[in-house]
Amino acid sequence: MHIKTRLLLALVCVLSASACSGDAKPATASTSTPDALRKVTLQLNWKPEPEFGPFYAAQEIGAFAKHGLEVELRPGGSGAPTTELLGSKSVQFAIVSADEVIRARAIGNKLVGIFAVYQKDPMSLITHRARGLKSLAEVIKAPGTLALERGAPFATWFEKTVGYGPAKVVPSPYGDLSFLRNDPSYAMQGFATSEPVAARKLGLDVDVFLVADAGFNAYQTVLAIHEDLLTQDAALVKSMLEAVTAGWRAYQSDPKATNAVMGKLNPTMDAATFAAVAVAQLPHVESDATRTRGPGTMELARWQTLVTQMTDTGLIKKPVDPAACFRDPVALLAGK
Amino acid sequence: MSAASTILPPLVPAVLVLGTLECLVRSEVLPSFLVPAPSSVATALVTDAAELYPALWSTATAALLGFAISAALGTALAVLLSSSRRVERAIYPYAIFSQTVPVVAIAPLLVIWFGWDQTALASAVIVSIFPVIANTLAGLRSTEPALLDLFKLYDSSPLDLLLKLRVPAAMPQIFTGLRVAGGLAVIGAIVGEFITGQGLGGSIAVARQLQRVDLIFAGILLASVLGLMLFGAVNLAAWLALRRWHASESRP
Amino acid sequence: MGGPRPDPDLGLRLTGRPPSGIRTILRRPMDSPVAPMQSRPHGGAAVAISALERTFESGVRAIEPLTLELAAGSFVSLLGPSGCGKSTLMRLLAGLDAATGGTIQRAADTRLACVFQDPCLLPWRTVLANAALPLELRGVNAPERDAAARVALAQVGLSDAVDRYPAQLSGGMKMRVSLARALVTEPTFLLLDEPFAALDEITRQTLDDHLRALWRAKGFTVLFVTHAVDEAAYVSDRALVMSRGPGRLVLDHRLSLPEERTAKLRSQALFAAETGVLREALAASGGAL
Repeated sequence: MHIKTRLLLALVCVLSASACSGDAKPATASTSTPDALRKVTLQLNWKPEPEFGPFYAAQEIGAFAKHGLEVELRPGGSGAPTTELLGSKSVQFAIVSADEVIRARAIGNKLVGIFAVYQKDPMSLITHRARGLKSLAEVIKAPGTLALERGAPFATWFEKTVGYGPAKVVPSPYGDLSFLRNDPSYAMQGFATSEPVAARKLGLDVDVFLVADAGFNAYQTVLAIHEDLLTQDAALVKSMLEAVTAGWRAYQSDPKATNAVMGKLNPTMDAATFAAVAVAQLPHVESDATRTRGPGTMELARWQTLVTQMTDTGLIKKPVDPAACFRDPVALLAGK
Repeated sequence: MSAASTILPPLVPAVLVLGTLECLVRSEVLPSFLVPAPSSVATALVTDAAELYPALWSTATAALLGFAISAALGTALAVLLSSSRRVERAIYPYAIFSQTVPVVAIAPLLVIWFGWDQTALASAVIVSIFPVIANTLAGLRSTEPALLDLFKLYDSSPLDLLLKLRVPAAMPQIFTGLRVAGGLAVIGAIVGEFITGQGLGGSIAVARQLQRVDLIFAGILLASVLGLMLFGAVNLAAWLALRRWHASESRP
Repeated sequence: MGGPRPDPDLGLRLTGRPPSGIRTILRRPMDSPVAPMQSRPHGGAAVAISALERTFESGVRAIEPLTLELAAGSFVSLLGPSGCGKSTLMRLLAGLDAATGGTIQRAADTRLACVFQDPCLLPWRTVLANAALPLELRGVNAPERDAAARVALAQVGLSDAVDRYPAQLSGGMKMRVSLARALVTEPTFLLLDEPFAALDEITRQTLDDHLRALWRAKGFTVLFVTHAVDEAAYVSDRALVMSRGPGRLVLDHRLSLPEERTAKLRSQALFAAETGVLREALAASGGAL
């Protein structure tokens, strides 16, 4: 059994090492010399698109540098595991959705949302206008093919409250419009700000039904951190928020330069589409709350509703405190 | 060989690894949202039975049928390719090509051609057919020249030559190809199911969205069992067919 | 290469029924490159070879123009060192290779069967199925061909082994199956190319006796290639000696030995004298064994 003992020992060492490697960046006080920029990573959950405008704009206008940060903006793709990366502390900042924060906390991954780019959930169902459907519920109930992430919170919410009809439920094509083009009775999930723009460009006449208008409204494109970062390096968090807020304002006033930068990183969208999406997302990015309080602001009531919805659909098995899920960036910056 | 000496050796590393994993997850050395405790996977196999076992059935039918089609079609193609070097040179490159195309990349095409319900089956065939073609062709081409002469002496028809000499002589090679194709058929079915949302592939994808790592691994475990069963079935068939005459099956 | 197809009745099925319509198409024999066939050779010859030669593409000349007649019902052995072209000659006679010059004439009703040094059994078939193979390939139905195979296997003393597989047989037994397979078509001309060379002395002598007994009973023509002088003398009536390549006949010797050959013969002076003649011819042709 000698060999087996050695193998077991090696196995334990390897597994422990991989678990320990998560604590990659020890939390120290912020930079001592003003010239040394703090290197951090912000993991995006999709390719560079107008939804990430505030972040790329912050980089463009030098807001990160001004607040002592050198931020690597890392693009993602479909299925980018941003919650896992935050949980294993491989990155300091990442983009998630509000429901991902709640789910993470329910299984012990203590994430906190600190800035919401999308105030109104842009998730929607997109289908051909020719079908003559009038509401999201009608789309779900209609025959044909319904493409969405069955396990996504909005989907489980509507499955429970509306109920699937005779349609064949298939996975979301994650932005690939081929299925929509080919099938006249196909409906797919997508962000109201992007897929419809691309669809119209292809000559498709589509209707867009927002989930937010049908009772499910989660904050999207939420900048998030692991809770420990707040206790260990509150100054870093504050610096990041200052820069992002500045970037947000810059992007809202003039997105063109930032769009050009993102366009180079994401050649699948052309300049015209970038511009169109930046316009289309305005009603989602700006709200009464942002106008009265400030960019990226979030309120408790919305989080409470979302937690209730997710509990009712059985998406989370352990109780989650809505207040612990987020910090209002306006309040954080004001020092509260 | 006793039953104990065949079953025990693979079990020992499994028990050790699973036991260690269980301890590491419970003591929170390993985060449970990345790696599930083996006990939670076992639990999921019971609690999520309503989702998993119909899914397993769906994947199993796609994989088995896909494997059968690969076996039949692959053998037929290999026979065609073996008929002349020119035919082989013309068509073989496309057979190789079929193996290299990533199925996920042609997902919309598969759905358009085969429909949502048959895509997993099509994917299983695409992924598993090449080893059948390659091995069968190699087997058909390596008939002993002395035996070929023998059939020539007896004025054998080309059909008899194929069915009574070249195919039986190629059986060991054909089974090698089938062994590989079995596991690939399962993988192919699951990849197709990532696209269509059916079967174990669909369940695993939904489990990912639900962030249920235990369910993900339960699905993977069932897929592995399916692959093993298919492999075992091919091995059994090989033993039955070859035990009387081929060295590979005649001794334990 | 090759001219007209061999006579389709070359392998008469036991039932004597002529080949029928579509089955003939499916079982159409493949082109075998046999030297152009002419009408029945003169006299009682089973095979008449005239100026036969074979030069390979590489330029190597395997056989010089060879002229030879084999009388019907005779037992002829062919001796020669390795590389003298005897196997090439065998393949030409069997129709597995095409001559580059000369002709081979065979009687129109010749039924040819071959036995090679490698028994060439199909390992996935039983002894019975192997023996029945030639008939199966000619379309004879199962009961008839199995019966014929059993008869042939009985003739070589393998009645007890009909259900065994080749993997379970000894070298000598495999060769006997090969022999039975050759006999199952009731051949008139039997070609054997060093059939017992890979076997031990005792088995070889037993099979020599067996073969000669079968020949005496059935009366087919035999051409028996070997490199063993003793065997050639013991088993045949007429010994041909070929020289090293390009092969040509250096001796054509009628053996003066009794019709019935027994083990005792091997130790007699008469036998030694005959083998001496053959050895001398071999040595003179520059061929070491």
